[in-house]
Amino acid sequence: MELNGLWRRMLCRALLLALVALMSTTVLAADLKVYHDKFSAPSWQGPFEQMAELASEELGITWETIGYPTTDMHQTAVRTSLPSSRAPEMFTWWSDFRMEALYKTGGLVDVTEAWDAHADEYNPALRAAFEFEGRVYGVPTNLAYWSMWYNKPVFEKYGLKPPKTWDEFIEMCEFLKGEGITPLAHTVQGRWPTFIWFQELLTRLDPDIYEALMIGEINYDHPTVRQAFDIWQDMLEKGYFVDPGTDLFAEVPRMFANGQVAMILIGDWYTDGLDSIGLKAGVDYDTFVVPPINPEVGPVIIYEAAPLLFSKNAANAQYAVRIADWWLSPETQARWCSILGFIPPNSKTDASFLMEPKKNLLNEINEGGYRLVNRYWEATPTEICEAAVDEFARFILNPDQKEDVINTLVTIADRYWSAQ
Amino acid sequence: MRRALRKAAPYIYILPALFFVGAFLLAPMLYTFYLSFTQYDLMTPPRFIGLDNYRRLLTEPNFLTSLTNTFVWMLGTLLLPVGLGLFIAVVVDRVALAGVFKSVFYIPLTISAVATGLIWTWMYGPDLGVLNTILRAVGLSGWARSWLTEVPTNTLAMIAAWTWKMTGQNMIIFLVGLQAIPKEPVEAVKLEGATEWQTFRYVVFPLLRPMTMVVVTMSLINSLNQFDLIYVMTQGGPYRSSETLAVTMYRESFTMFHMGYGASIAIVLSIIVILLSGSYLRANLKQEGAQ
Amino acid sequence: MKRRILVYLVVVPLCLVWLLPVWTSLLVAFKNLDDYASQSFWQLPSQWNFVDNVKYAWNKAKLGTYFINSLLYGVAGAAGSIILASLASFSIVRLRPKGANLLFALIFSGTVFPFQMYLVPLYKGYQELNLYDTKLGMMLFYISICTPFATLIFRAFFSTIPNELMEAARLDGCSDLRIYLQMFMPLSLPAAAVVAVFQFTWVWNDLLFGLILTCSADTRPIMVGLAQLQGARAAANMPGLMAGAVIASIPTIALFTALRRYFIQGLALQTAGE
Repeated sequence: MELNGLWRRMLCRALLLALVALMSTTVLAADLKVYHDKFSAPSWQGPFEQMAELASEELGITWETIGYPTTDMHQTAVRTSLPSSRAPEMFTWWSDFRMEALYKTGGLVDVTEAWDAHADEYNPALRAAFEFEGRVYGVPTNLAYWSMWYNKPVFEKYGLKPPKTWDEFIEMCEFLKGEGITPLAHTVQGRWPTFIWFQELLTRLDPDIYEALMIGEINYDHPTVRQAFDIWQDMLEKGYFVDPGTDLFAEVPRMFANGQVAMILIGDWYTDGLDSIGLKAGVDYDTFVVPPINPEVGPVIIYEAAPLLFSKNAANAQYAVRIADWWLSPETQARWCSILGFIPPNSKTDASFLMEPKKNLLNEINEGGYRLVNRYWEATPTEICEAAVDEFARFILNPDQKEDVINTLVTIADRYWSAQ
Repeated sequence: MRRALRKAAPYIYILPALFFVGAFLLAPMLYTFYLSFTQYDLMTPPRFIGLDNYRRLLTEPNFLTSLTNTFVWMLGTLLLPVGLGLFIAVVVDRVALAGVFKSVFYIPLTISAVATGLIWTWMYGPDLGVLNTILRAVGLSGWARSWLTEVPTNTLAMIAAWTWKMTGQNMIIFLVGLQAIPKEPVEAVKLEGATEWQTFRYVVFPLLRPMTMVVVTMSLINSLNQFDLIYVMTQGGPYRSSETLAVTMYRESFTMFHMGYGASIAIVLSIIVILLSGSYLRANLKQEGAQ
Repeated sequence: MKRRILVYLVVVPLCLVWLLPVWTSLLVAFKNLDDYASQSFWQLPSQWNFVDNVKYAWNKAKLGTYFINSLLYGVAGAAGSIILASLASFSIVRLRPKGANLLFALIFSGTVFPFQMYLVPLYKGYQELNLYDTKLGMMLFYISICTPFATLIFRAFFSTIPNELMEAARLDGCSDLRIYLQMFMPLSLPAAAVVAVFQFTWVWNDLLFGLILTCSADTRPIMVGLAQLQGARAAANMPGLMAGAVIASIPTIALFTALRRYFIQGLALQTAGE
């Protein structure tokens, strides 16, 4: 039967393929492994591989770089292997409360020694983001500052300048709206970005209240927090924002490039996305820090610190402090940050490689005596944060449900803190 | 000896499949069942807490939303991708250009769930989205909306995207079934003057039953476990309004790392799936046995 | 006649609806970044940039390496599940041993559970058994996960084959194994083709398990490569991503086209072969 022959041929081929595949095995050459979650856009795969080469030249240690394109699978891989010797020696993570559960298992290497050697080179606020009970457990991979990125041609066309006061800022929003341009971007898509405007408004009102709220000293019904919600509601109802269903990464950059939306409040890593659709830093876009709402509040900027952590149980954990010390040095930081275009966290690192807007932002932060405040995502417990971003989304879509949202937030925070 | 072997022979055919499924699917399932009675964050060993996870599930305010959405998905999937798949298979079978039609409906199947999600997020975008652009262009700007942030529009919009993806698969299984139907009874009733509808209703559809069973069962299971598309398009949002049980389970397990609690949702979900698909299958198998 | 009217009135517009997302995303794959940023979805690119986009996707995501891996996993998953499922279904439907339905339910129960919950136990188990990050481990898993659906299809298909055929063969003195190999398998080409196409496609498009059960480029499947082109935190190069998605779906479309005649004209083929 002819068909029988076809079957037999197909089967033979499949078996042959299988055999060939089984005979090939993977050879592991590197001393260490690093797991990271920036495997798509942005990609840290290439940069980590370049750093591995540098490390092998300068320290005689090299590592294999393993990237995960989704944060959930990255976290699953790290968490599951952390208690065992299969743990990666190094892995990227998030700071503060997002790091706490890992610290509590005792699975992280204490790298305080390395930080002490570089004490005069770093802002203490950054170290604090990786610190538990006086000991430090990570080194920075990315220190991002959160500021307003604006469309420069639009500003020039209407003779607008970065606002110095909150009133000027609101006036500008009103003006742009009148010209048919949506002043501000925001979104509920992707869940997490809903905290952006909440943290901004509250820190512009009172950074002390913001920090107290983050660690549960006050709750979401505090008068200043309510005031932040009031201002937010007003801005939402006046139509300063784009449709909240607009995707911040797929749609907003295009609308920004077309001049449909004028300003985006976000971390400085966002410029990757603007550059990727062909915009030029300093020509097409620039940045300013949002002015304080309460004039008595000094210069404040929100930062986001992403750490590289070291696992204690990993097979080659003994290299951790040496690598940490090397990683923190001004020279290594210069190399890493220049590959990725990051603002260097080390104050002794030569930052001349930065794009103009970031260079100016860094100068302003250094010279203006800015206070650094950690962003909401890490600064408040994960259990609260994950529930709160959904409530913020409800508020953005239904500003009239403000009271209900505040009450729910109070309950969420109460439930968490009373269990501690 | 020989007789024992002959008696065992039928089982030997089943054994390989059973071994693979048992080792790689059923064993992990049992482990998850165990986890559902524990508290576990992947780092510290699981701690036995009895029925606490299940108790928590019943008091969770969002449980009802997830359950409702899960059933909306189930109904929507049975109505749209299955209904349309059957319709297209029957209508397109053996007509001119059938190959072209079949290929068109098949294309979405070759696209991964993640890419499907991206494409449809983009179709539904409020400002630059394809759908709203078309609506505005034809003077229906009143119909343009933020498809993925309005409730319950978002769930329905995602079911539409799922319909786009899955109709082709159902169509093909139905087509395979149609091929296997003997020609004689169909010709016979046609000669007796039956209309197309009568032929379909009383001859073709009953003969199609084995394949209908496959399609309905798979659709039940896939829709009840619906996760991929939602996770790419809305992540269950805004404010958890489009979560299904599978999305809630994923959120608890892989965002919050409440592995035990996530496992208990998985168990509840599986029980629902087994009850529904099992009773459907049983009813059909019985009917089959009677014939 | 009536049917032809239905085809033109309903199926043609439906086809157009179905093609709209395909067409718009395909168009993006041909645009350069400027056109993508500034044009509406329906506008044709000012410059046809497809080749550059493909190059970008191919190089950035190292699709070449992953391509071979996924081909292997897809073939293993499809072929393995066809063998396992047809054997099991033959016995369940035709030999009907005691408890056949229960055994079928057991195999079938592999699909009822939400797949995501397999992740952690498999990850841990694979590390213990040294199957983690191996091609063998990936193939074994894909064969397993493809088997329940394949069994459902074969069971349904075998039950449509007239019993008389089998009785006749038995009277001729054929052994069960021979009946399975020489009668049921050739007759079940349509079912096998469907399983092959669906399961290959499923394996080809799987990201989740490919991600959690492997960590090196030597073993990772193509969807991991494709995921590299997506933006997690920054806007992706959409034309590049779409070009990547287009090349990544070539094998599945090719397989469908190649096997289409077996399951769409299955009956005609049988009569011609005999």
